[in-house]
Amino acid sequence: MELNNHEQIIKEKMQSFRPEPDKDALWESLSQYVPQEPQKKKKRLWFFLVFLSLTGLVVLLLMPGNQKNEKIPFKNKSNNTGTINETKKIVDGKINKGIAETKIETIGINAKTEMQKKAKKYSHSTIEISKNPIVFALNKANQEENNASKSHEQFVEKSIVLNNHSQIEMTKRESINTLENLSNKLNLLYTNEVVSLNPTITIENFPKNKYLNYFAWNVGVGIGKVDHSYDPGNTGSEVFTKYFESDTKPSWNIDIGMSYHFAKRVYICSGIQFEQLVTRLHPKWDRIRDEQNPYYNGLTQRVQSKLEYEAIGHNYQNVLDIPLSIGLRTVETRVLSLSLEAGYVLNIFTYSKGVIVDEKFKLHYYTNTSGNPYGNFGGAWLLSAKLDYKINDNVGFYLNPVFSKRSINYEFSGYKFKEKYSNFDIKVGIRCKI
Amino acid sequence: MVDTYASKLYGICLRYLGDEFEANDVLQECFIKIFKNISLYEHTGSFEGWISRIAVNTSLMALRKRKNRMRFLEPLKEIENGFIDSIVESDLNEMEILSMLKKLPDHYRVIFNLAIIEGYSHSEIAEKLDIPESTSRTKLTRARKKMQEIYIKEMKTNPIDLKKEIKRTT
Repeated sequence: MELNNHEQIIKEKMQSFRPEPDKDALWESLSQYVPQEPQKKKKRLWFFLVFLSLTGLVVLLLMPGNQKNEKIPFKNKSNNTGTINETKKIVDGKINKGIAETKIETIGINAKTEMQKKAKKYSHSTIEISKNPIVFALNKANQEENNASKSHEQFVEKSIVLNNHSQIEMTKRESINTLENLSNKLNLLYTNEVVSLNPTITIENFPKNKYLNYFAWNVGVGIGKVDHSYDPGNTGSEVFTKYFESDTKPSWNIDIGMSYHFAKRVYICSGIQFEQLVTRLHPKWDRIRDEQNPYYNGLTQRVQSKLEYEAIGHNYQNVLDIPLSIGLRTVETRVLSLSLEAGYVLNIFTYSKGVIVDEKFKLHYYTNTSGNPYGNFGGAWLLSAKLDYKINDNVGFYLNPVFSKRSINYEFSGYKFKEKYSNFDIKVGIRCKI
Repeated sequence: MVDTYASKLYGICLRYLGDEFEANDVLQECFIKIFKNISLYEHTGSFEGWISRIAVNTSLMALRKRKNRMRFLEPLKEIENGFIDSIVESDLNEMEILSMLKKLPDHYRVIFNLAIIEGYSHSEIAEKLDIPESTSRTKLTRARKKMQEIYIKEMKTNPIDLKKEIKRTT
């Protein structure tokens, strides 16, 4: 091939062109190929073992089995705060305008008195609760109470409730059935869907060489919002949740992780994450509802209930997560790379404190008193994607959405509960050469 | 070996890739390949030639990964014939040439490097890039024209160099 003058000059100049690469970085990345490699590997292995031991120690220290069990006195606060301010009643579907109010008042008062008697009869003196974040639970007392009064129940199909001289026709059978289902269920399954958005700022070290095997680590802190969306899988919990409101305080987490990258595109990762979820119950709860009282024949009443809890405070749930997952860098360009990750997370509930509200709106205060450390374990499947953007050799950013499906089984006052959480976290990270 | 040949290979990677970060990555990969395959070196040709070929091939592989790597059908503006002779390239230093090479689209830069700088024949280029020999010729013609275009553009946007150029040519 004939070259003209300028091409010849270009050829000569470029063939003698010797730009200086970053030799330190080059040496660092090639160091695995020099003879002292085994020694270095040993050091890394040692570091990894120390990390695992420390993780184990933290887990052991925080395990609920090591904490003192407590018996918490049963506090039934709602008996004093729940009031029936107004009742209007139609007996057996017949409307008696004018005289209805007198009758209603009488029956309403009687009902209240008898209900209080029954509550006294079946209430527990002490209560022992395993652990739990927010749940709406039935306790044994309520169960028995409902069963005892079942023989007196005669429900109406349809009732008409007077409200400011207008008639509202309501079908009540459905809600009565729901109550009935509740009282008959021995093993209740509550499936609470929780979506958490947890932006985490993470620092992760850069790989020395993405073509070689290497360890990476990351530390991060995050704060986020957990949205409890109660979407029960059974008809039972609907009764509670549709009348009850709760919200959450921002949750926070600390995250330490390690990953080992090999075969160019594959990596395994583990670590430890401490997370605190805080749920707040609304201290004031005000509602008007039309309901049928299952204890009395054909009683339909409009009830305005105003419950004022003194200070319910917050439900705390401390969770230690230990993930083990495998990842694959699927797409990789000069500046962008996309990894997909799947694995399992072991959840250890290290501490719980809070209040449970039962279907009678009774409050049960509890702390972590299970005494059975294995009862506090949960598990979650996780899927995540990680999008890396490399700015230069020293700095990069990544976006790491994580979806996990958490399932917890536990027992409370003889009832089995199953909670399912769908967690969605987002981690935003900076990768840098350290 | 790293100290001796790193600059040479880095120069090759830079010429082909036109990007320092990527060139550094590819340079590492080159050395890994060299370490792994050193037993395959037959001591018949020059060692420098052997490792240079590894650098060229590794750079080509990296380029293949790029999304926009082979847009062979990019239209070219016509430029005046004869201008080529008036270019006095000796004024350009290596960095300036490299900067011009960087501005070439990947596929032109590859052909230009292989044909002009490495001295591969069209049949060798065709084999290396898995393209017809005629395509290799066409691409080289276009790459040459593109280089001239870039040179003209550079001169227009850099008056000091342009003045120098005018002074020299008159």
